[in-house]
Amino acid sequence: MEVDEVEEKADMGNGLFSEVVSMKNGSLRVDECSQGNSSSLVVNRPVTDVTSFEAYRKVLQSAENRTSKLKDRGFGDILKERGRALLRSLFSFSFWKQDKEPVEDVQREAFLTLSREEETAVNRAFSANDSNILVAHKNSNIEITGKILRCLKPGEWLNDEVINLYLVLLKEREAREPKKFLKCHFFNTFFFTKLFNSGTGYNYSAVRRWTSMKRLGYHLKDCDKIFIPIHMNIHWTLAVINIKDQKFQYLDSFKGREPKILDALARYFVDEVRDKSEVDLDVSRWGQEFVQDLPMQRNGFDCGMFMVKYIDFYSRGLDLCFTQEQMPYFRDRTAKEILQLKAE
Amino acid sequence: MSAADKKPLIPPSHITIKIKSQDDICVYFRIKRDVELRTMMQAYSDKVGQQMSAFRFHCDGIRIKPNQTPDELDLEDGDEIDAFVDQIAGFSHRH
Repeated sequence: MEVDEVEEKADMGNGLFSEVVSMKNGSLRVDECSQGNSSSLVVNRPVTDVTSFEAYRKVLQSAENRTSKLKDRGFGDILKERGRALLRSLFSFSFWKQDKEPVEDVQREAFLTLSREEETAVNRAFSANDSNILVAHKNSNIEITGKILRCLKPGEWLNDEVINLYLVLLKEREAREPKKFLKCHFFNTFFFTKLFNSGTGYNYSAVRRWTSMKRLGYHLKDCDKIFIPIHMNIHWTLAVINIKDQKFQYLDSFKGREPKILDALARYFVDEVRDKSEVDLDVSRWGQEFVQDLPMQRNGFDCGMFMVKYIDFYSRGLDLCFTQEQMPYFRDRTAKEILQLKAE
Repeated sequence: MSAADKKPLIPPSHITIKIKSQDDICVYFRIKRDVELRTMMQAYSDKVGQQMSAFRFHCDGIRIKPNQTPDELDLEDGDEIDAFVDQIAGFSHRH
């Protein structure tokens, strides 16, 4: 009886899985939904384990969606625990114990709630004077004033300062725990402006010195992913040089497509590798992907927050498992992390 | 020009710095190596008729603060500083 139930669950999971795969062209889903341990789990284990993982992930995700509103009142943990107990009864415990931890930890940390003190601190900072310097980050030379931080209040458009500081914090997070996060490079919001000038076009030499070994301590080609924020007049989008999966990706919370940007980045990456490593890289077989299966913006102000979270989740090796509804939370969380000068 | 006439040679205590706008328009400044860049940034902002807070001055992708000096940044004669304009966005017009 118990076996039947498990098999039925597995079939269901299998169906879901192949559906997603066909939507996203081949192995993409597998590569992006998990990192490190869990990614090798998905690739190497027999089919039943893949479905178990997918089924588990979906159950957990739906449980989290349902409980997000109750969390504040303290019901979240109880419901989540019940969900876990149910899942434990479905899968054998040894398999569970082995594989649950990394996936859950990584995903849970992406949605940690703010403590009451942290919320108070964020709200206080939101009402600080315009010119009051709330935090100053030494290495990046970025100072956040009351006025600049307020772009994280609901309904406001994100500015370059907040985004660029946050990207520095993501790099510091990776340096703190290199095993937990993908090896990434986060270009600031001005990089693409400099690389691709609207008047004069592509210009590698303008950014050649941005990535010297002396400055970075690593070569771009040795990263898993390189993130390039794109400022398009009044819209934030994201381009990714995904070295791990050999493709150039473009993520727009309104699903726009900009092949020219990816063309420029392909050219940049070849030039960069030739300049720094004296290797002629052939990217002719690398794919161009305009990611369509992504959380979409449903208003006129959150694109910057979406872009930042695409970067955050990808650098964790996570699937983009969030929605528009979580944007107010992400805004508060980002403000908190900026005030503490530490991204979790 | 008058300053240059009086001192035909650049003394070693000075360097020439180029500030480049996003439209590749350059403004040149001769500054002392041990003086804060604030004066140069302010002069640039005045020249292009903007508030200094509207600019993000970068050198090779690294943000420069007004209280830093060329010496601190290892700036050399002829080096280039980017004057990026603040960016803000949230919406896309798609019709």
